[in-house]
Amino acid sequence: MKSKRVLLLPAILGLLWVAPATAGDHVEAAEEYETDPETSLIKAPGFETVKNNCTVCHSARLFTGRGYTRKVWLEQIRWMQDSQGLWEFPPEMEEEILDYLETYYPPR
Amino acid sequence: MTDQKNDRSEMNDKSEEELKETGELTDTGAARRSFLGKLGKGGAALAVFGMGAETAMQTMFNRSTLSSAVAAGIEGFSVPGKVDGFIYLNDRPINGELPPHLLHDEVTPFPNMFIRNNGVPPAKDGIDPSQWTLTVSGEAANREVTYSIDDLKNKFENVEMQIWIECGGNGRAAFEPSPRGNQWDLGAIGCPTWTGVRLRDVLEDVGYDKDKAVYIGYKAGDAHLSGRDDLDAISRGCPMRKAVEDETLIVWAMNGEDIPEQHGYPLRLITPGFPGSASGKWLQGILIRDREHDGAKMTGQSYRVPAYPVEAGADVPEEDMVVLEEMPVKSLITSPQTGVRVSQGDGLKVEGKAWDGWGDVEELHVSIDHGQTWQKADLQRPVNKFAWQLWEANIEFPTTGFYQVWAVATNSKGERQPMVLPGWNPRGYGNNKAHHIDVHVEA
Repeated sequence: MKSKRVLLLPAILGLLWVAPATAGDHVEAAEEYETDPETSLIKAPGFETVKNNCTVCHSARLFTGRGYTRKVWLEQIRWMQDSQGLWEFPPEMEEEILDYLETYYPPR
Repeated sequence: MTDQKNDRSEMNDKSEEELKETGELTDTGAARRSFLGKLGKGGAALAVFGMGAETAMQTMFNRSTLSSAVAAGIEGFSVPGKVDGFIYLNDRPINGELPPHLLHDEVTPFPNMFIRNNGVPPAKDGIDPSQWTLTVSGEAANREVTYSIDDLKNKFENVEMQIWIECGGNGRAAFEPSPRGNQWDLGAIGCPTWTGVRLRDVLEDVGYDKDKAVYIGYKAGDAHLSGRDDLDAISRGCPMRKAVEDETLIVWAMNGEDIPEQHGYPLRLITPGFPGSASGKWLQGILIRDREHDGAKMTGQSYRVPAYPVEAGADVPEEDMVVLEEMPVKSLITSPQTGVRVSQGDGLKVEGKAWDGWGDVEELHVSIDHGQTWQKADLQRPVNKFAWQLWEANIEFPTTGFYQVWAVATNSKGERQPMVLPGWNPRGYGNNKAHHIDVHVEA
């Protein structure tokens, strides 16, 4: 029993401490910036690149409703490049887009 | 916190026996066992301690209860004629659904019919229906035949049926981790009346090799979002067994009028019981295929589910994904709206709809104690196979206070809606979790 308690205490503290901190960071990350009225995208670094490449065919609402990991964002880009007529990005532009999506539209 | 996590909790010791003792569930032992088997331990955990999380979840994912999200909508965008309260998820492509209380009509009128577009519909103004044609061809077709809409009207028996269409991703918003795609909540479902001809009659007229024919695929007039002519927005279909059923139709009218622009003007397919994407809109072609159709959104992960249950968030290889066919049994409470206040002495009449991908809902039960006890609702037979079924129940509340009214439907196979989220899948299809409304019972 004793060892269980030892393990439980940090776990409970972890829940109390980490969860609100993470949520708070995310809210702050988004709230530092204005939202673009046209696209609803957060106007953070990378916004222009995302707007110019990701809202040509479809609205941003197709992807800002929920958030994803960098891996899933990249899968989405590759799927659109493979089958949906999306162009190839120069590597630094792809990084910029993924950085933006990963930072401001993470899993929630 | 999700109720999938509740499923994995340690509260699994609550036995089925205890559930049986408390549950005045159904009349038939088979249905009862089936239900208990499926509800099983997750349901027990839910009843014991999970309701706090459950209530929070429902608040998060019933957008109908989140007035701020509804009010936000998409600034400056609406589809002419759609009802106030229509929830726009996207404007390019256009996608939108209804809160459950706006699905109360017995026959869904145009203003209350959800929209799920993959591409850009052809503008109604630019279409001369007398010039619109449907061409039937394909590897298993004996010949290629082109019909005008008048040809269809004159050559084949005309039929009118009320048939529901539900988006395969209806309910997706509740899954965690979040599957890609429109975050449908509850209301990507509707049941208008359709007028047209049977697909089977048309296929017979063309003639096809019955040994060779495996699948039909449709070609449609909507444009790909990229504007590229060489890409289809969507080109799905159904296996031959479904294509030749009595209720699989090619239609030119919805609720007795021209099909509205967003719903497929001037011609569309109706493939009952299957995800709505099998009911192609702006129909121009039918392919009688000698293999499973491989058009846009038939392959990869679109409208496919794992061949076996997977853990939430799993990477499933494409070869293990199978086409989503019959939609699972489901129901909605369409009256009253969630959050209603009632006097204890008055009781409450609760009404709704129930439907099943195989065509028959057998029973509908309601519970006001989170599934511990059940009351059988009065469930009507459908006006025709694949019409949704109306149900109602008169509920008495033993005390004042805050109640949730839950509804679960059971189909002809004895399958019953779960009260917990059904299995996670990569694209979030087939969520038939039971619906509930909040009721404040006052003195």
